[in-house]
Amino acid sequence: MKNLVKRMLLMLVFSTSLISCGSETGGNGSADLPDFPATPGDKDSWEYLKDETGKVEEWDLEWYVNDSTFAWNSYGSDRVSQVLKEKTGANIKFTVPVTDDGQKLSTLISGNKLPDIISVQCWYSQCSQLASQGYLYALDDLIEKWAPSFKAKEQEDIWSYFTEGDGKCYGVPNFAYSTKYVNDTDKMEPNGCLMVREDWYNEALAEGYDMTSATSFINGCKFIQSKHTDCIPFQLDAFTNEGNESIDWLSQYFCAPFEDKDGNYLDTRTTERYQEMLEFLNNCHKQGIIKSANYSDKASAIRTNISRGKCFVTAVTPQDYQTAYLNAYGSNINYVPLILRNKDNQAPILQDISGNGYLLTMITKNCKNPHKAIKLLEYLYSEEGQRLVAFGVEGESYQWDNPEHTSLSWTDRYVSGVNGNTEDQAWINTLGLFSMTLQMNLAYINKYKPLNGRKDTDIYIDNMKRPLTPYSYNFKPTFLKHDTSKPNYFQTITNYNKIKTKWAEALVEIIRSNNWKETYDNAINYAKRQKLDDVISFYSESYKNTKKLLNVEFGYPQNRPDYHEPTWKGPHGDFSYWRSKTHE
Amino acid sequence: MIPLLSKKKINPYQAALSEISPLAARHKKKKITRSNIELLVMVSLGIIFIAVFAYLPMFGLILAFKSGDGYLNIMDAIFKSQWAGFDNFAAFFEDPDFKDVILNTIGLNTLQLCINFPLPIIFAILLSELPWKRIRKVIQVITYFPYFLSWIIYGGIILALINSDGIVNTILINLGIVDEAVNFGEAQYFWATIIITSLLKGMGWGSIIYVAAIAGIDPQLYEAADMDGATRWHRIIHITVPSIAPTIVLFFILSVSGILNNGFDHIWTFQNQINLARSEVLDTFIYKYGVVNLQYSYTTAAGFFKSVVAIVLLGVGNFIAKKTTGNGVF
Repeated sequence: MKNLVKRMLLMLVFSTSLISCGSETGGNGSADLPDFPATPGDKDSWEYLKDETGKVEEWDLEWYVNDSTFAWNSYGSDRVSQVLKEKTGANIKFTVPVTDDGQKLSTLISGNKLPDIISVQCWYSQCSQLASQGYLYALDDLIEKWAPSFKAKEQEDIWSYFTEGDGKCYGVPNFAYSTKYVNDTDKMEPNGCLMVREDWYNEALAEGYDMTSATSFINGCKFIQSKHTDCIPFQLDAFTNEGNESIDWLSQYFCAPFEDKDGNYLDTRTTERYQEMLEFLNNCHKQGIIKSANYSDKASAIRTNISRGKCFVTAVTPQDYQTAYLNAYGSNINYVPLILRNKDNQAPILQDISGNGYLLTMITKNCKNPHKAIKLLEYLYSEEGQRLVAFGVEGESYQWDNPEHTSLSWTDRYVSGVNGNTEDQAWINTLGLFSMTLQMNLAYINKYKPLNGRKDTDIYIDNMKRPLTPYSYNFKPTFLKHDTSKPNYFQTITNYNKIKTKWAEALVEIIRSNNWKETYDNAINYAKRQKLDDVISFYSESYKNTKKLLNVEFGYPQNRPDYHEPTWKGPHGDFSYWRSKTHE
Repeated sequence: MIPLLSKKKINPYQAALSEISPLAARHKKKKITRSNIELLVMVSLGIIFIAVFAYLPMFGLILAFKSGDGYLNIMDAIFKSQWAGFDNFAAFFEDPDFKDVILNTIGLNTLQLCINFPLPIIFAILLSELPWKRIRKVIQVITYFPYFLSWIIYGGIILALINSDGIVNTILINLGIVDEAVNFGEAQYFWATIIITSLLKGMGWGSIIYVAAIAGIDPQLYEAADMDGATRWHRIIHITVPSIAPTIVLFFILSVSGILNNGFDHIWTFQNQINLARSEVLDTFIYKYGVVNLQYSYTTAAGFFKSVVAIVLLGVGNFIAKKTTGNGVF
């Protein structure tokens, strides 16, 4: 028996040592590139994927997208994916998580099972960690060797923002608004906002509730609730372990700053304006205008509520619930923006839709064909690739209006399909437009988007938030650029994650509390015990670095020397920003 | 099924059994024959399975004593991180959530032990008392079926039934029991939801083993009891229950040792931001901080703590069972 135990122990030690020998540990981010031949830079790199006969060899690529809502269902059969394959040869297999709790990504990382390419939310700490722990190829290295033509296409400001401490960039984001296509001074619509059901709002207005102050808002909601008993007076977004987006947008309505007058970083949660907003929400809860189900409902339930037109006021991110608003619009229920002001009657300071991106696409060191993957990314990143994924194929679904290529229009066939021709409508469905969003550059696409043949619903959805444009500002300094080489980086992120998870729980408790201030103080004290001060100190440094990178002295709009409160005083914003059938 | 043996009480039947059992002759040296090799090969598969999936991963427990948080690759966390002694355990015990997490885990499981453990036994007894075979089979099929659905699907159906627009609220409102829809997602309903859904899904399946045990009882015992004028109640109390007592004890001991184990997918399906005060249990806590936030060391310490408690409970459960019924698993 003793011998048996000894043998088993020996086997265990042997097996463990085998596992440890076989484990693929990261290494560093040095340019240890595979030995594929270099690509010249005299033409677009993807052109070199063709052989002498002009054909492109097929190759397989696995692409993980860390967003459960991403779906390219028609991949392989639609026109866009066919052209993409003709150009690059890529046979892409996409995988997405079932839920958005980060579990799938964590499992892939912890087991070193990352596929060829991954697209991860650019603000996730894993992006920098993956780069610093050697799981990713530096795009600069790949570009230098296999896609020199990519260099000229780079959006420098975005590229520079995502450059890590070692001076290399490891990922390209989608939905980033580069100064290459949008000026910093250009006014854009807000990211999230309050929307109110117009017909019911007019009923409340007739009773004297314009709902632009906290008291009037609550009274207006109560009035509508009494009149339409089945309605949801105030619909907030889903409460998750990440927090609640509605609370972010509302704090902007109440002008909760993220920077003090001297330009130093502030933890928004500790500001008086943020507390004023929490008190407002607490009052909303006490008055019964936030339904109990709102605290446990998932996004799908909220989507149904909006679709049915049950919500009087919504505080969600409208683009995330676009289909729901369209469904309501289909039933003649129209939502318009609403301006709510803090107790000092200040105009809202809303975050505009521009940012440094959403999903950061990175090529992992498990990638079997990095020399081809970088060419694929270059194609998707290029203006030609952008037009393909958004508008289809030139001459088939869109065309240039002039030889200078300054504007586009849809082809007659496309317009015919949009106008209801059954055959052409079916053809449009086979195009696969706006499916491949992983390298999408909305700044470019919005600039060139054809405006002919648009329907009422397109105009409605495009313009929903535009009247709030005067109140929207660039919040780019809040996209903090952390120095991942600092020794306390990992610990700070760990503490930050703990605080974030607990704060998400506390938000619900504060809103539902009989004594919101006491609950709030307890939550702040908990955060302090989890070293909130250290986190803020680290973030303050990151904030300074980010502002330096963006070359701005002040980040918060009210602190900027050129800030002027909008003169427009209407409850729904300025409708002169509404875009109709032609470009402004 | 092998009878549960007690060292103190060996009945003549068991003694006779041991005479012919290979276990009794285990000290006698025998030559390895071909049929032995076949048996060894067959059993080795099970041993390899247990070694690879149960013993080998135990090496990962080393993480509980290292500072592996912040590493992305779990192997890096094991081999490259520094030793941390008992720091991770101390951090877990000092965590403000520790008390609530343990309270929820033990509270919910104790309730489940008190309610969900005896009900399948009662259900099996009632089922066996049904005189109509066909109806008995129909009931069995109906009650077994939910077990084969995953918690995600089954939970999704339940959530749809109990949401504010669901059929449960509609019935409650129409019967005048409540004035407005009840939010069953609130913390005060969580434990009840878990226990009821657990029963609905698992009671039928959980009763299978007892139905089988009851079926194995000698019918002559019931016939003799009938002749002696025993009522149905007497038959249950004096024949059925004592006959299945060893099975009940075995499952009771196993249930006690699993008192810190909650069905993760069950809890996770019904958990939301407002019921965390009652729904955060060790399994979900470890998942959130370990898997999602990549705090490997911290949560390995939490998992280690759970395993140690489970082993202690197994021992205590076994000891109590032996003392009270004379039966145990070791």
